[in-house]
Formats: sequence, structure tokens, C-alpha cells
Amino acid sequence: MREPVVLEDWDVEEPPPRERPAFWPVWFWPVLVWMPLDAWHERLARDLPRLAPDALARGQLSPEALAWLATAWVLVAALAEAGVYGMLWTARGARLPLAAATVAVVQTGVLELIALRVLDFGRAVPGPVAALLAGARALAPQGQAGAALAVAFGGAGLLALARCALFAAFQASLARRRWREAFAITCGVWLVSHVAQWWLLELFMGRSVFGSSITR
Amino acid sequence: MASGIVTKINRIALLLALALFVALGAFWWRERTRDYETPRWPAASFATLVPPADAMPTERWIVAVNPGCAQCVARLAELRRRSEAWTADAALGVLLVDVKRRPDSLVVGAGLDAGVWWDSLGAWRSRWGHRVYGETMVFGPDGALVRVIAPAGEVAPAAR
Repeated sequence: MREPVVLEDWDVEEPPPRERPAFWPVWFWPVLVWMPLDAWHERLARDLPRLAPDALARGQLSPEALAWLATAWVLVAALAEAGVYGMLWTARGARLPLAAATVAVVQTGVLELIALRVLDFGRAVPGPVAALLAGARALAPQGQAGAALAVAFGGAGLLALARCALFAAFQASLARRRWREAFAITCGVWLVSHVAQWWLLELFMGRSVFGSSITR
Repeated sequence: MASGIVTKINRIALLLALALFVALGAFWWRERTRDYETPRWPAASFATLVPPADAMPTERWIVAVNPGCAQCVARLAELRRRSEAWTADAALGVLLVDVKRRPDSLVVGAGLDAGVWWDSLGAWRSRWGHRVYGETMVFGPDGALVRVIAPAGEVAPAAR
């Protein structure tokens, strides 16, 4: 009598876990964080005298110190953003390493810097291409940010979308989940945070902290 | 065990964030749907720091200035400079806003034909619903608001 053939239950087995998330090696992280922060500092040092003349007029901080303070704020904001995503992933039963996610936020923030650069070019060559890349803010007159809604959503362009997509890819890799899920979370957070920004700007606009560039 | 606590804390934090977002939205909606008074010049609650000139101008250009706002002061200086070329039918004035204690009129200088006023009760913000420092409110001879010019808007007086 022949032995019964036992089929291996290979098709219902859990897939083997990936060895480690595909991300930059830890020793390279300081470089990955420093390079974008340096670019942010350069940008802020140039723009802050225009954006926050009140802070400079009070004379408590030098323009250079204010630029470094604002750059540190970029890093703190990245840490907070990574923390929010970490919380959301925890609620979904996955773990997002905070430090690596912070590096990813800082890295993808470079796309916002590129968008700002596009705006610089857009001033010289105004057109729908700049708006497509950097959002409708590219069409606003120079020095006028427009209404709160325009300020909050004026940056919604292809580069913002690319940032969401790229950050979702990092998250998917770090949390070991599908990109589609990570992209949905990223877009949701982007939408909610920008709606909150819109509401806050409308409630507080005109106060000196926002300067007078925001008009009704 | 530790993982369970983390999950619980995480859930509470997310619920708090959600509650904060909803509260912000409710507050925003309440502010947005509120009926504000139509501005009229001068409002009874404004205190005169420097009385206006006797001549009755066709238009009063009132700049909302907060002494702590450097951009407002710069805007006022720009308007003063340009108003030198205006004819007598428009007068420039200042409304000091969001100032709790009675300010010194000298914070905005002298020589403003429409006077310097202090919004002592915060009517500009709470009753008129205005929020933008450095905006210019143009009032007609009857005190009715004709238009509001944004801080970076064009400042030429209306065609006469």
C-alpha cells in the first residue's frame, strides 16, 4: 500500500519576515539630517528678514541666531511629525521607529525646499508649470500670501504629492506595511494638518506673529 | 503588559488629538458664522488721543496700527509719505488696536488730519470682526465704511 501523499501547507504559511527595513544605515543619518537642515538654514536666513521683520526689529536676536532657531524648529517639527505617524502606526498594530522616521521626514522635506526654489523661479517666469509643481501659491502676487485658505493649501502641488508618496515609501519600509496603506495615512495626516492650519490662520491672522502678509 | 500600556496611552493621545481638532473646528465655525457690526466711523467706544482737524474731509483713511507691529508702522509711514500728495478731501488717521493700556499718541507721531484714536474696548476685533494689522479702512463723509485696503494693497485715494 502506498503511503498517502502529504502536501506541504506552504501556501498558507506566513511569509518570512524581512531581515531589516530598507533604509539608510545609521552611521549615515547625521549626514542625511545635516544636509537638509543646512539648506533650510540658508533659506531661512534669506527669508526671515522679510517674513518676521517684527522679531528682528525688536533686536533681541540677530538674523543669524533667528535663522538657526528656526532651523532647530524644523528639526523639532520633524520629530513631532514622526511621532504623530508613530502613534498612528501603533494604533494600526505596527511599529514605526521614531529616529528613522524623523530622518525620513527631514529628508523628504527637501522637496518643500525645491518647491520654494520653484517659487523663486516662478516669480521671474510666472506660469502654470510653477503652480503645478509648487501649488497655487506660485500664482499669488509677490509679498501677498492671500487668505488663510490659500496660505494653508497654496502649497498643494506635484512636489507636495511627491513628498507624501516618498515619505509613504519610507514608512512602508520601516513599518513593514504596504505602500498604499502608508500613502493613505500620509495623505490623511496632510489633509487634517492643513485644515487645522487653515482654521488657526483664520482665527489668529493679523496678529503680529503672522505679520501683515495675510489678508482677508 | 508594557505593550498594552503603550497601546492604551497611544489610544488616549490619539483621542485627545481628535478632540482638539474637533474643538478647533467648532471654535472656527462659531467665529466664522458670527454676525459682526458694519464699521462706522468714529465708534463711540474709541478714545481720542489726538483730535482730528476741523475741516471735514470726503474720506477718512484710518490705519489699524498695533504699536508692536513693525510692518504696521512701516505701512503708516508709507501712507503718510504718499498722503502728502493727496488733496484735502482725504485725511489720514490711526486707530491703535489690541492695546490694553492707554497708549501715548506719540507712538505714531503727529500731524494726522483724521486724528489718532485708541480702540479701548477692542471693538475693531470683537465687534467689527477685523483682524489684520496695517489694514486701511476708508470711511466716507457720513462715517460709512467704503472699503478696506489690505496692508500691501494699493494706497491711491479713490478717483475724485
